[in-house]
Amino acid sequence: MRKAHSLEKSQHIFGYLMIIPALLFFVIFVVYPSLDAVGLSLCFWHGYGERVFVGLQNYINLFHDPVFWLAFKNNIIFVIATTILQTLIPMVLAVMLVKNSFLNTFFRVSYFVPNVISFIITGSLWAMIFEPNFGLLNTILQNLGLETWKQLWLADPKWAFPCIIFVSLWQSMGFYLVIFYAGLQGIPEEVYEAASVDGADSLRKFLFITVPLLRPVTTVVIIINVIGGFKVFDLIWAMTTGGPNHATEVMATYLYTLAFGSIGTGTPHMGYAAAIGIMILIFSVLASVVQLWVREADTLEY
Amino acid sequence: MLRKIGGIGVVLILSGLLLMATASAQEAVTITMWTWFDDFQAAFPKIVDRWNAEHPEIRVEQQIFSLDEYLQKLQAAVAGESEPDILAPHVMVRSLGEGGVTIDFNEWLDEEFLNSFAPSTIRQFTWDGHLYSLPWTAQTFGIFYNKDIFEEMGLNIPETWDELIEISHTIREIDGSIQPLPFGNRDKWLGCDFFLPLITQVTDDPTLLIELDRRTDSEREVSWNSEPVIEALELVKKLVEGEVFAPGINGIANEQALTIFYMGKGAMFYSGSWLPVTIDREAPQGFNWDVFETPAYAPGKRHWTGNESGANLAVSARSKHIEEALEFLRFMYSPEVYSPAMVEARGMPATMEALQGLEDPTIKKMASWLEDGAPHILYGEGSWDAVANAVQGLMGGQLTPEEAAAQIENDVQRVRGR
Repeated sequence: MRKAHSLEKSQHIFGYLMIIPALLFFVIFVVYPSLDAVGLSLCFWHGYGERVFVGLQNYINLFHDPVFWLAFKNNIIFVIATTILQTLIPMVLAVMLVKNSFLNTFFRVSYFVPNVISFIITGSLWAMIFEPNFGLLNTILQNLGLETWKQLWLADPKWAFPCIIFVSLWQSMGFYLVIFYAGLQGIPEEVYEAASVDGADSLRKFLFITVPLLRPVTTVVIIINVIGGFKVFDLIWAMTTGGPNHATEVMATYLYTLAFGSIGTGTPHMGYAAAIGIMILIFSVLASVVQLWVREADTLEY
Repeated sequence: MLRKIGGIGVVLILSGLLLMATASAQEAVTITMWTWFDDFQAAFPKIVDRWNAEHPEIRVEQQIFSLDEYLQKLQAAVAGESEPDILAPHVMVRSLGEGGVTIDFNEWLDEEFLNSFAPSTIRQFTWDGHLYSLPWTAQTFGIFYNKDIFEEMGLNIPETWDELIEISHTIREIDGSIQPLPFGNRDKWLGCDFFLPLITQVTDDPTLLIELDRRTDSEREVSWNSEPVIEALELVKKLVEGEVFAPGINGIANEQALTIFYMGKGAMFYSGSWLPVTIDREAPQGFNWDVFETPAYAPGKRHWTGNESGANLAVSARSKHIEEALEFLRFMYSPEVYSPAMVEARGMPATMEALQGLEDPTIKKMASWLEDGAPHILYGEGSWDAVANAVQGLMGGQLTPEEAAAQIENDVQRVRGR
């Protein structure tokens, strides 16, 4: 008995020893920088020399900074638009492509392909397509005789953000489609058969079986979208660098400009930028908590 | 037995220590240098190899990064107090100098050496009598143009901006598929490079922009929200409305605009003296081009042009080998090293001797505009971003000149008030 107990204990110790490298990595590269960012957000620091502790001054300044609020508003628009589009469209597509056939597999792979390209490359490619004079999109519209549909796209504050949202959808649709596809595999076939026996058509099956039973997956997709929406950076940076004149500025692009500067920024504001970083973290966590809370209050079992 | 082993151990440790001491006494000092000067990709390794061969006691290691990643890398290194001995601080020159990160060359270098540079290039990096960087290149801006298009359409070199608007109309009338002057302001910086020298064009006073940027050492009351700035912004608006630029200026990257120019779909291109080497490298064979002086604000006025270069070299104040770094810099700037490097990279030199010995006709022509050099780089807190965003708003038609001027002033005040 004693021997078994000691074996168990030594196994436990061995287990803990095995996770030490991962734990160390996590503490050094995640916990410490995160805590340091909180400390930094309470300081005034140019990235060199002494950090000057200023308490909550950076946060107070943030609340009086119109560019921050504009960026925040843009983030909210981006979060709402991408969460709705990047949840509904992949879900419908996943249902349409759920049956295993050569064509469906081809489409699933096709939708997923853009996801393997980095956001920076995607952004740069689409910026070329949207170029107002010789870009592919306006050229196609012109050749189709749809000249009145031609726009300045990224140069027009009205169109720049919808363009970015569209590219985000194009890029990430395949990823969410795969998640929904995996979720659909977990819905028992018997439920659909029973519904068929009861005379339900495809739309009813989708609305009253698929959608409710996919709810756990949908929650995950929504949370990923919300967090991704709050911290979106690379796509916007590659396509517009937050312009024209802040029209597509989001919190992360504003943070980057303050901390690292677009070309031409000579004086970094690290503390202020860290405060924006903390705000992004708070908004993302809050949105996720609300979502999980709603989800928990409404769990379905079958 | 144990004592014997212990004795051998002591002897071994002592021998090891002795060897290490000898080795470190002979070890060469290593100087590191980081730049983003990609036009010198070929020249720098040669300079360094020559130095290392001639100076085994001071070894130099240099790295050239792309500008896209350079400033962030430098900033991270500075934050970690691990910056190289010699660095190219670009627009961070003032903040790093005043923050004590880089040395004041006036304290370390003799007057004779400093007098070898063109005075305006030294003035660019001097604040309150402290010289925080040495200019690596000089620079002027001009309008590059497609000679074939100009000849075919019978266009003359414009003397003023109004004439530029006129020839733009002519170009559009003759061939609507050709843009008079493709301009990419998606990344914001070219709008600043274009607009800021115009303030000097309007006022004939190159010190005004410097004072607008610095504020603290200005004796007169200056504000971005003032008549000369609005007048310069009016000129930009006039050029936009005169359809000089391609539509959607804020949706075009500089590289895209340059491609339009190379394709023969753009007649002119606004850029700096770094462009000839880029055209050599990238333009299709037979591309027939030249460059003319930035037009003047009005007939008979001076052709002020942005003359400051972002290519400059500083030495870390935290370096343990400042003297050695300076020795290497003296070597780099010695005429037999500096001039050939400039010729090879087709750069515009910053030293008087190399400027006088220029043979490249394009660079020589552009260097002759240095006497009409106007400042165009802002180093003060928040100024560059404020101007960049407002100029985008103006060029995109979202802001009037008055609104743009007010926005710049408000943004600068807000950033400096934090």
